[in-house]
Amino acid sequence: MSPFKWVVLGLLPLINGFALLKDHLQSFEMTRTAMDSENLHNELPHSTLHLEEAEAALEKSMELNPDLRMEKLNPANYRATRAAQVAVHYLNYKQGSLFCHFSRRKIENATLEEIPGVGNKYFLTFIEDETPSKHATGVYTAEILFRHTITKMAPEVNSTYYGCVKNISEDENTFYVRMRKQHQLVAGKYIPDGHGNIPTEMEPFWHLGYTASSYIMWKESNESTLFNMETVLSFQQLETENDSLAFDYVVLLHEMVSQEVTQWTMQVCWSPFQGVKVLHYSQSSENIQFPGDAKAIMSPTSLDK
Amino acid sequence: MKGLFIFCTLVLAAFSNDSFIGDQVLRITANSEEQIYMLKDLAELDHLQLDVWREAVKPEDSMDIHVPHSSLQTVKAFLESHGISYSVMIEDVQSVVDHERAEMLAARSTAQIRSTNSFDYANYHTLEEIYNWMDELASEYPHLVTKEQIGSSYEGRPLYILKFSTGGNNRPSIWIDTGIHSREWVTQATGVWMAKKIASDYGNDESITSILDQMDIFIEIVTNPDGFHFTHTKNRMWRKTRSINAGTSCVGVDPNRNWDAGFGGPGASSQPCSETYRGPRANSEKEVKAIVDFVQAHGNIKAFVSIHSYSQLLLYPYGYTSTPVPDKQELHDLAQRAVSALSSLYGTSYRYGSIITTIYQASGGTIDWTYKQGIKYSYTFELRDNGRYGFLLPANQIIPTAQETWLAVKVIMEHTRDNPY
Repeated sequence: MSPFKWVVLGLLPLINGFALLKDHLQSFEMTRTAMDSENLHNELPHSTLHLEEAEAALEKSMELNPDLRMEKLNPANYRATRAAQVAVHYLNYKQGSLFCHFSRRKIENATLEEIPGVGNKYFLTFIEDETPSKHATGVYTAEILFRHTITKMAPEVNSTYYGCVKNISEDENTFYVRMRKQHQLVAGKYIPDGHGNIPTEMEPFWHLGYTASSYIMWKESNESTLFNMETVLSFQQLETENDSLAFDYVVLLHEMVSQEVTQWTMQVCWSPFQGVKVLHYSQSSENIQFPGDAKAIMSPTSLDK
Repeated sequence: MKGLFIFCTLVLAAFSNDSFIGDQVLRITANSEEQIYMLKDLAELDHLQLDVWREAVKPEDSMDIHVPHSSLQTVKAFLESHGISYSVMIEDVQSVVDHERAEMLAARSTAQIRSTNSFDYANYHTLEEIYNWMDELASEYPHLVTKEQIGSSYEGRPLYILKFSTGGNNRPSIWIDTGIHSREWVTQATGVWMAKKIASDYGNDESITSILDQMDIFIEIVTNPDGFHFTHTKNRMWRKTRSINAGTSCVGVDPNRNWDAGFGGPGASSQPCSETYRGPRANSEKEVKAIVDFVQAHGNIKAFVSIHSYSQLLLYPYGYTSTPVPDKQELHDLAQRAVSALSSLYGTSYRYGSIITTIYQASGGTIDWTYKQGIKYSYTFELRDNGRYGFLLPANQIIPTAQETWLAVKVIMEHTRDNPY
């Protein structure tokens, strides 16, 4: 099994000026530093190790600040699930990879902290996969803050995880080179189609849509939502003047709590160097038909080699 | 007629994978002979790949030209600079082709189901194909399987159940339904597979044989046939029934919010346009009323399993209230064993618990009602996957999903058999 490289996210400036949280954050930082240390660098991480450290950090902060309202959640509870989903969407977008994605794993422990005047913060630890795969990366711990503000704010996420296998960037480069050689702009519909089918040639465009949709799903999430991307209804490659590839995407997102499936358009850029970027997005009122028996289609039908 | 011929050619071409995405058909009206000649010359330019659908002879005639996406700008610039008026007759040829193809597929004559052994369980089927398959199953296992109609849908489609019985009179029974939400295609497919499994396992598998020697099993595979048809032909993401709501163009009621349990309370919508619209009153939907009538007339159902997708959950009541059910401990333990059995096959991991704590508050739900009717072993499944494909689960996952789900369902059935009440 190839060694996984440890990647640790830097702190987001989420607690400016809140003394209550600063102490807590310091103890969490201790956890993060521990994970950073050299002797863990090339080893497969053990879930027990950081679980204990995360819990220790939590307990320490509770000692420092008895006013903190902490509630242990049942890991099967929907509140933990929704928070975990947000972390996955955030990480998928931030990582910006075409072929390597996070998925939501089983939650081992979940704690909710209600911060008066701020919002709700979730602390989650996840159970390690027994057989990590080439295309999946895994989250170990995540901290998700939902601010309770009048104007909508995207949830803030901190996390520890392991990154993608090296081969992924080779796949991405290969695809990039191939796309740059095309004589005609690429377009397609229904990925997957009604039968869940994705023709092999169209897979990269699904991946791109999925990573890009993660941006929308992260931005639009709150404690009462759980988003998934259902399909890429259509994509159309655009001309660009720089090295990036650019596309107009139309996707269907499913929101589990309301059960609504909504249509979103976005403009997406990608290159292996810059990763996936969403330039802008909006919910679309015009509805593209999606009959169950329509087939996935691409123009040209396959990319020139 | 020529239009029809051209259309067939297009559709045939589409079947061979040519693409018309972004192509348009322009209706062009020349106002002089000179303009007609210009248009003819334009049409003859090879690199533009124009295809004339309808010629113009006299200036008053309009000319219909199929313009590929790549030539659109050039052609429109040409027309505009010469003051030739045109309109866009077809904005996207591909969507018209797609629509036609879908219509053709929907209208094709019934695929003869020769035998339930040669039926393709690893693929999604149309309503017609499933209904034909049901007849075939009943005819192949005449001493075990009968097809019964329990009512009609809003649009008049028959609502069928399959009854598995080795005799007796109104034996304690197990009910399974799939497809109450039409877009959850893996559930109808799982229902089909399970029905075949039950029929072929009787006499071969000890557990199923012992269950069927004492109890009857009922399966309603397409619980929402109007919605199911709609997902094939128009909108793959359709969830609700297709009943018309007074005073609005929004169609359909959520059949899993329409039951008489906590009806009208939080956890369902009062808005017809919502995906969780509860309907004007409890049991307003014929698809729901048919099951209610059946359950009440039967009077001896001991386990009720309603199958949905997706999220990989096994849920027990309640959804409408956080008050735990009296039998919570037993239902929780049974769910744990069922989930364990499920996961033993392919490692698929499920969460389990009451509806309200595990997924969300939902009122007017099926198993809240069945539990309150006294059917203790009332469960809702949410099958694969966890959101990667969601409702659009690839067909190659149908059989693995059905196989693992079956193990969990069997645990529930065995417990029901062993714990009469």
